[in-house]
Amino acid sequence: MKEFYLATTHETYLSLSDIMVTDEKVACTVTVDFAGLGYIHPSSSSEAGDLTVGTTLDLPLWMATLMYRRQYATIQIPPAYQEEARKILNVDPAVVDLRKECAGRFRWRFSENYYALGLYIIPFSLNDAKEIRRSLTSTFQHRFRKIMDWSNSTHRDTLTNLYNRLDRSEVQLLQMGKAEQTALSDWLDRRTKFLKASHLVKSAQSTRAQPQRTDSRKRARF
Amino acid sequence: MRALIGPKENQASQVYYRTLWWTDVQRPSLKMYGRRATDLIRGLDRAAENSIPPYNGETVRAVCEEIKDIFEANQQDTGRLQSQADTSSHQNILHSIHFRHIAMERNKRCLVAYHYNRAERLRSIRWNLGGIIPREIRSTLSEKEVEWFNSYNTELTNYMMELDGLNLTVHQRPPKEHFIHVRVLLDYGDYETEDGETIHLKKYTRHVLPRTECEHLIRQGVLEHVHV
Repeated sequence: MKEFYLATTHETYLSLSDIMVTDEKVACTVTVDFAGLGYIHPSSSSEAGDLTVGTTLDLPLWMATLMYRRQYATIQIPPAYQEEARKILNVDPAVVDLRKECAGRFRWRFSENYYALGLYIIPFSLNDAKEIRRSLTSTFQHRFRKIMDWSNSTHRDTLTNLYNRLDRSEVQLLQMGKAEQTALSDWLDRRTKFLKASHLVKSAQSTRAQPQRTDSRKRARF
Repeated sequence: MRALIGPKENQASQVYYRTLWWTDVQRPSLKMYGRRATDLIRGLDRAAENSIPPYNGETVRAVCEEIKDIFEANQQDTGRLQSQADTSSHQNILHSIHFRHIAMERNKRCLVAYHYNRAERLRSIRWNLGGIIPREIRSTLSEKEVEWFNSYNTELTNYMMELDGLNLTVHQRPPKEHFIHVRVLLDYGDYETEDGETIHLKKYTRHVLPRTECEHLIRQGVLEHVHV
């Protein structure tokens, strides 16, 4: 039996995707002094090498969360969850490219872990929590329709440029949808009784084939 | 300390900072803990589902070094704490200790998750391909992992022997027929079936074999199940 873990899995100690989500950077402002930690932030001016009050720096989420809990730092909501971005998503969520950089007052981007990161961000946003939550839900609802469409209509295809626009959990949803669609058509054609080679063998064979190809390319160049 | 934690950054992480980090445009990058650990996880996370990328022993060692450094720094600070009378600097040192401790916990989490997830993938090899690791995959494993695989293998075999030799790894899907048509994909050589007969598996030949015999060979990519 195959198990699926969506990339939105929250707070699972051993989950790879959760570790990747918690590595996203958020801007924090330090509210206490840290003795001898000045090297964390290269431009901090303190002579003693301390990290001083009021320094703004980007901390990974795993650090920022705990700093916030201990009231050592305040967290700024990333631009991807602020009002400007919410407006963009409000217009037509389905066409937004969640991985592309957006131009604006300064450069920012939505995240490839948009939903998962949003869930982490909500507790820090005192004023906007409701808005962010609503925006996340409605974005997902609108985009899910599209994903459902794609997974039904384009099975057995590789849609690389489609994948590049989606959030990680959305990519997983699309892949699941496509796998189910393929399984259904296999069943209808009575192909399910056939035993297949393990995907491990396939991937091992493909990695074995690759070096030869690069070798020949190199030879051609010289 | 600074020299230890701010190591010569490898190229991969630099590219990552340039492309993925929006704030990098405005502010200089940080010499933050836990970067190596995330590199470790990223490598495994980006690999195709259930495939096992080469064991990244170098980074694992670097992460362990970092943990050791953090621990020593915290030990030093704890020593300083006792000699310090001033309450405000006392507090500041405590903050730093907390900071480093969180980083240490994070590194630990990454290491555990890395090894756990690899072991999970290795386990699925035992169930899919049988007790022998294919050569391509063996080269990507660490010594300890091979050891673990072998001990898991004996445990599973012992358990199946207790069940009167019932092979749990075959018939993962309900079988429709007893005998199936197969085509040989590579020169495998002689194969001895359970009733003692020997068949010669030569490339491009076709056979009709009992399903239980060839299920493993099909999964290993030696045989192909064909439509008649």
